[in-house]
Amino acid sequence: MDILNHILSALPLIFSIDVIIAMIIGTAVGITVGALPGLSATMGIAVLIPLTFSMEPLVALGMVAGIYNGAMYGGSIPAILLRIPGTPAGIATVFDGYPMAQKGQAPLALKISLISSAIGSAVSAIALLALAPPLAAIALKFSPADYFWLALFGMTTIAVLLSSNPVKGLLSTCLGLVVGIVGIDAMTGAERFAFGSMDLLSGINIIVLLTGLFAIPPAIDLAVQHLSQQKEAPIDNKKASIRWRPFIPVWIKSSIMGVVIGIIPALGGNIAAVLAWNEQRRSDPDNDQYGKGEPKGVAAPECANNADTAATLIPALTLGIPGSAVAAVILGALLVHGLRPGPQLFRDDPEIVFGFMLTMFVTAILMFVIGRVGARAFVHVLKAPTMLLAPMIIALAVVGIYSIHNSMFEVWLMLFFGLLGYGMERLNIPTAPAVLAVILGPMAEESLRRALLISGGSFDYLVQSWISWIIIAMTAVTLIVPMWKRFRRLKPSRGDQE
Amino acid sequence: MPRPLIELICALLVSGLCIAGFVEATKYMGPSGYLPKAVMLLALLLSLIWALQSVLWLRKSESESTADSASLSRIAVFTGASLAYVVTIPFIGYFTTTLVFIPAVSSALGYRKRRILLGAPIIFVLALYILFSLILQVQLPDEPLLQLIGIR
Repeated sequence: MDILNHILSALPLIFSIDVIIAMIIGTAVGITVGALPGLSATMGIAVLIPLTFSMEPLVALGMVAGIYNGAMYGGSIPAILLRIPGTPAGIATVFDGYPMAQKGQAPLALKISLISSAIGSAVSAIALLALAPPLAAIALKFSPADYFWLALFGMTTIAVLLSSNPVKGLLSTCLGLVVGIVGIDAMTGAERFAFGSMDLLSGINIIVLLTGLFAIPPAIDLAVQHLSQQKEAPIDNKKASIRWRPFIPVWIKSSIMGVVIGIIPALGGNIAAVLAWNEQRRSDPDNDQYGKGEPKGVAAPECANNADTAATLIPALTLGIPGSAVAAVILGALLVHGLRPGPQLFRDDPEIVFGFMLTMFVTAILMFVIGRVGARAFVHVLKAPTMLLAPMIIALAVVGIYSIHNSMFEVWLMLFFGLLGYGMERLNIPTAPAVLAVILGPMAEESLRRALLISGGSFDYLVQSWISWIIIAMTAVTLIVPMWKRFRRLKPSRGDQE
Repeated sequence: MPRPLIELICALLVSGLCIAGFVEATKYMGPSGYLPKAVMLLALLLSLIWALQSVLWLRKSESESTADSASLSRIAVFTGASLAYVVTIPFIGYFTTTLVFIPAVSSALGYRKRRILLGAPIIFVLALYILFSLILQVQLPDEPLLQLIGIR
């Protein structure tokens, strides 16, 4: 009942004129960003956050929701027309989308993609609204010790699962922990890693790190690549009709897969899309048509990758544990607006958090409307010259960061993180664990200190509750399973050599 | 340079930074020092493992091809221009610098359509001016050149 009351009280807020405009702009920008190969939802949100600094929280979050949902659909446009997924989540759309376009069915493929994406996003938003509040209520019972283990679980999971080499993932986590330490220690007042600099005393703003790590490397990539020279598939103007009824089971199955995969940390939309496409092909008796332009082969991945979006936010909003880079960036957006992710968010700011979840649903519908109305315009986005876009992204990131505190120091810091992030990407070191550690590191440290204060300095308190033990077991499994898999993979290759 | 060697150099560089960080962390007294010391030790251990992995990779002598020289020169042009852009902003202002930066970098990267090269940055800067100066009223660095022609 409480959930319904909160939804009803948030409804008038999200239908205010400024939130609606923000959602429309966000969705259009999201589709555009997603349609540009090399740019992702993470990058789009990272660049946008500084611009939303002076906005009301719900206006900013409405825009973020629009970008997130829109980018997931936008990624399918170049996947269908150019055989290049605009975002990693669009990878499976290529399999049947591009063959459809080559047969002259590009408008139909884009329409199937749009409808499937909108359905996936809507189901995901409903799952978020239904699952997040009860999970947050459970999380309110967590002790500081449980929170300490939870933060540790979040950091290790992402570090180990996001990288093919856990050592590199954990090194990225250490970088984030160090960045989170910089400044005055809130509990003791001691200066840490500030080196006497006044600019570092108040710590490193998470937005500076986010923009640097997620906006600058794609800009450099755009400057280096020649993506706009790809050959576009022909677009036939004739209207194609299709029966939608056979798509219903595809949407149901793919939505469920997307939601479940979204909740699991470190999997993400690309995995949801590939698994949904594979499952669709496996379960269809007419499966030899897949990969040759089967419309259901477009519906399944697009529905699944969009069903992943809001579901990813379930652990992020309820526990403060982002399961992906984009969820970490969205948590950054919440922090910028003075909202601390976690169960207390549902208690302290229910209108904002329920409003944000509702905007995820509304933007799913907006995405369908904007996608239909602006279909032609979004296709033209593919012609945008990347050599012109790259310096524009730098200019936008610079003014966005400068406008936070009118500080050139932060602009330099952002560029430093940008170059560092680019270097990390070249060395196959994932950047998401660093961002996660900036958020979770202070949470882990504060929870540990509070736990020790409560217990009078005894470490036994850390392993007294059953919740702590469950989280410790999950952390151990997360660390051991990939190592075991690596070991198993190595074994036959040794045998082969012998 | 072979990829494993680059990784080895980076790993050793990170190890050095971790040692320096640990020395710095020893100055922090009481509970303030626990996390910095723990993180630095963990990072040192991880970077040494990374270095070891790189040495093993190097010994396999399966050198992976690194970025080609054309890509490297484009990266150098782009990052160099971006750094110069940020250096210049406090002196001649954000909008003036951006008006020069975007077409200069695009043409240096090989973009040749003149009309778009000159038109797009003007529209882009105009949009930024409306958003940041007129709507958000952000105090950006002075624009002496634009002031000369009476714009700001």
